[in-house]
Amino acid sequence: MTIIDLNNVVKYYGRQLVLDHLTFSFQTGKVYLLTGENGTGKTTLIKAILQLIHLDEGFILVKTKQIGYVPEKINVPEFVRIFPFLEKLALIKKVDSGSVVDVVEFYLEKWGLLMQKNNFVKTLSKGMLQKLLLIQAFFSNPHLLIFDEPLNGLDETAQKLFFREIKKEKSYLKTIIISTHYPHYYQEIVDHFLTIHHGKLDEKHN
Amino acid sequence: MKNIISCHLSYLLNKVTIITLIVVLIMSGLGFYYAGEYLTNSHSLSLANDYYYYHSFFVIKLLGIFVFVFMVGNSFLLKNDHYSHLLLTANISRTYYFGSKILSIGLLIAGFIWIVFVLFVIVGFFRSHNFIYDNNLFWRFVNLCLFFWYYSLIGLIFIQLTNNIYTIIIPIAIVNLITILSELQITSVLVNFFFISFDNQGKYLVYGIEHGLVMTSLLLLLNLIIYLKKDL
Repeated sequence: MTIIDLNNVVKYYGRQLVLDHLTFSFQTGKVYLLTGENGTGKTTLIKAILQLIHLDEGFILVKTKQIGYVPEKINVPEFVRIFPFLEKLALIKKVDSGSVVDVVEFYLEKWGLLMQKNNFVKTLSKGMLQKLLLIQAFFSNPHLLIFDEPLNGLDETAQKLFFREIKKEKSYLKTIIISTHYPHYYQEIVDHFLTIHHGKLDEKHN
Repeated sequence: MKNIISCHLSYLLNKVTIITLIVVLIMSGLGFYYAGEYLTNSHSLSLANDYYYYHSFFVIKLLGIFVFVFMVGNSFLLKNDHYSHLLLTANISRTYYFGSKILSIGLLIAGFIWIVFVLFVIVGFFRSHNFIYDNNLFWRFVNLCLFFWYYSLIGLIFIQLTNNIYTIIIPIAIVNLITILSELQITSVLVNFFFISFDNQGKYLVYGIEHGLVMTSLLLLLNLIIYLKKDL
């Protein structure tokens, strides 16, 4: 079943054509790996799917509103601790499985951040911040998960956990899109390799 | 709504903002203290109070416009608005996000003006028993609040269009220009209509609070349209 439909998608930044008449369908229960050189439009495509940018031509149909997203970079508040930060996001995302406190604590424990739950978000290392972003993407139980360089700063244990989680989500028929410059890390879990080159999308099956 | 506002406030209340607000508060307090000299020296109570208000008002207007235009603009720079990606992908519309952020900033400005107003009254009473508390004083500060909002929203238009913090110079320059023109009494109806300003005594907006509210609402709408149209 199709969850995202790209229809003749065109995006310019100034005079530069970044997405060149892309037409593609993302299916449920599949893992897509998006690769391409710097500045070829990977993040632009992701932002287009998330409707964070406007298209110059074409349209994108996303058949779910339950989306978990891990951006490549994010600004964090200075005077907020990890637990209240995640709790707030969970309430905004309307996390519905049990009490919000339990859900947040469950994920913090799973990702090894429970001991640091009272630390300020601003003081987190790169890897810990990445774990925080992954938690907020997973805990609302979304139908569509989109990651921009998800292994950024993660240690080996966290990387293994990430792959386990992806396999689990895939088994629940979730659709997963991962944008990366390091495709070899993801060989085991990926169904479709997508490469953006000169604004066009090339697909290879695993 | 409560959670989103709380989320915005946690981003807005960063180290730079807090230090700036505290510094402005201290400088305002000092300004009020020195302006309080007029309360002790004058023979006419009414004139003394008018002078105290006029000079205190000058200080807070000068400092406040810098702070609020900067704060509003800075919070909407793309690098400081990145967290919108987390909220907008959580099934929250851009209009709701923008509205809640504006409301959060509005609460912060209103809260700050309220503290400044209380400080003005306390310093007044502290400096001299000649100080007379008048309910109109509160409404003058409400006018001031609207004045800050108006020019902050003008600044926000430029910030949204250029994503460059230096464009906040434009509304600050406009305020200074309008103030100078007003002092020289060479402003026109048209200028006062599009750029709200205070009367010669610095007490109320020239065309009243209703005009200020309508103009501010129009700017809000314009900013919302730009926010809906721009790439995040």
